[in-house]
Amino acid sequence: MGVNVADYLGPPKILGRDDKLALDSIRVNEADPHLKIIDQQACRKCEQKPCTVTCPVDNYHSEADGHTTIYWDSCIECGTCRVICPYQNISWKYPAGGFGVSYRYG
Amino acid sequence: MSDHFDVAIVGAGPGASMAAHCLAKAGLSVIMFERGDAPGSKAMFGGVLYTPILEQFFPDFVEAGCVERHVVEKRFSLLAESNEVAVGFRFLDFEPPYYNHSFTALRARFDRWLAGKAEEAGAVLVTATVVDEVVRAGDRVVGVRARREGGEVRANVVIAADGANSLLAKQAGLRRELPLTVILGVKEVLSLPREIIEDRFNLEGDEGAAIEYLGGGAVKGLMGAAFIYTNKDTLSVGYGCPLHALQALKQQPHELLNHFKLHPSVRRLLRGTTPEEYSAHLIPELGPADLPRLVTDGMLVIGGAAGLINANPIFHEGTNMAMASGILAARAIIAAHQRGDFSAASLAGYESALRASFAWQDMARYQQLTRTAETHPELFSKYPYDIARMAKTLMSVKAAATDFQVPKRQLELDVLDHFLAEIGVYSFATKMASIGRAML
Repeated sequence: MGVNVADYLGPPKILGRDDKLALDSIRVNEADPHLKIIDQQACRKCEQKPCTVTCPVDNYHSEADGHTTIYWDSCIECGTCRVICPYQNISWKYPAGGFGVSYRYG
Repeated sequence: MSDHFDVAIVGAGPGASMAAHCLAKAGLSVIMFERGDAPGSKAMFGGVLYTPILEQFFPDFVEAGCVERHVVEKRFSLLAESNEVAVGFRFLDFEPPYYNHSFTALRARFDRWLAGKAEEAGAVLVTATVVDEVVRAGDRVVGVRARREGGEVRANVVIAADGANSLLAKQAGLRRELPLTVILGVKEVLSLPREIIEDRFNLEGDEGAAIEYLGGGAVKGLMGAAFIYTNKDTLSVGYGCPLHALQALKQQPHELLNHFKLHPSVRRLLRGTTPEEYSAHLIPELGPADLPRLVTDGMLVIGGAAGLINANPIFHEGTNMAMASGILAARAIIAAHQRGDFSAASLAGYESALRASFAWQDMARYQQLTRTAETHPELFSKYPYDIARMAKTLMSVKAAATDFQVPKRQLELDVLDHFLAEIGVYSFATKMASIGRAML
């Protein structure tokens, strides 16, 4: 066999958020952010900010003044943020057809 | 493109394609809308696919190469911080070509293949097209509106097959927002040469292994499970946990996956792998109160959109249930077509057939179990540690000062002490009784 076992003994590669995302093909529709915070005031009074700890690509950041920044261009469209938001404060739609994440394996 | 079809299906996953195949075979005109570039490009699952339905409809599915490996080993493992207690099953006497009807699979490939079967039967597939809304005439659903120029398509029946998030069923008023019991599935696909996979997992040829991991070393004691599934030349490595548990953990979900990959018992199975893809998707594990209405005038809901998921620490099923619901939806629509009546009453045969099928029966049964397990978080946060600890105590070989070796009787008493102190007879008995009641 042409495969050398010794070549496959190294520790598994552990990737951070950016390197994980770099594996995926995401076609960004710059003209149309598909995720939006409806009311930043609601984010300022939100204590838990669960969007910042449940998004699988860590796209939700709470800024110093309490408002939320969404890195929507690296969204993989799972829907977690929409479900977890205690104030239903995220306007969530799918990216336009052909845009967004495209899995090669799935 | 005609702007009127007998049936418009939103989604092109396994349920949608089975429905489209059956409808087109029966001579109905069918259009399927896929929002990705190709069917499967937005899909993700664990995943193991259960295939009795495929055998019935496409007996050559194994040769067609739409699946990866047939599962001969199922293993359930409790991971403590650095120990593992596992129970494994090896099934080596199931017959080819279908074996135990359990195949690992990758959705980008599988969904595309199955949608191709629907197209062969005559269904029209439109890709890269999002459908945001149903079109109504009064209370009746009479079509869909795609997000594109002139995107309105009329149909006698619309099938919402748009998956876990099913914004369409929600927009049509059939479903509420998902509850926090919904599971987030997170996965990496890691490449590894097939010879190494077969050697490392003790497999021959296209045999595969499916390993489920519970406990602190897997998902930090959360309700949920991690997994390794062997594909032909990749591994699917990931976990699923309900959102309420992840919210309480306050750790990034992608870091929780790294935690699992680094467990001493897991990392050696992943040596030399190269990450190829990172993915995440919701798994709509709902309670009975959150299940959608399945039928309305001119519209049906199937598969993940209908919450048809049996996801718990023992079973992980959904794609097979989606396919079953697609077939049952198609049969109900064909009957309605013959009557020329597409009202909810005329389509109601779908719901009664679905409720009588394995898909609904299994879902309802294990929902009970899941809801019961939720009331005993220590089953996930503490018991795995206790079991690993007691097993380690019993299996430890110790030198003794006064004898050569600590006698087994002493080890048994140590185990009993641990059980009484950490778990307790009454507490254990009541938990087991409540789980038993949920399953009766």
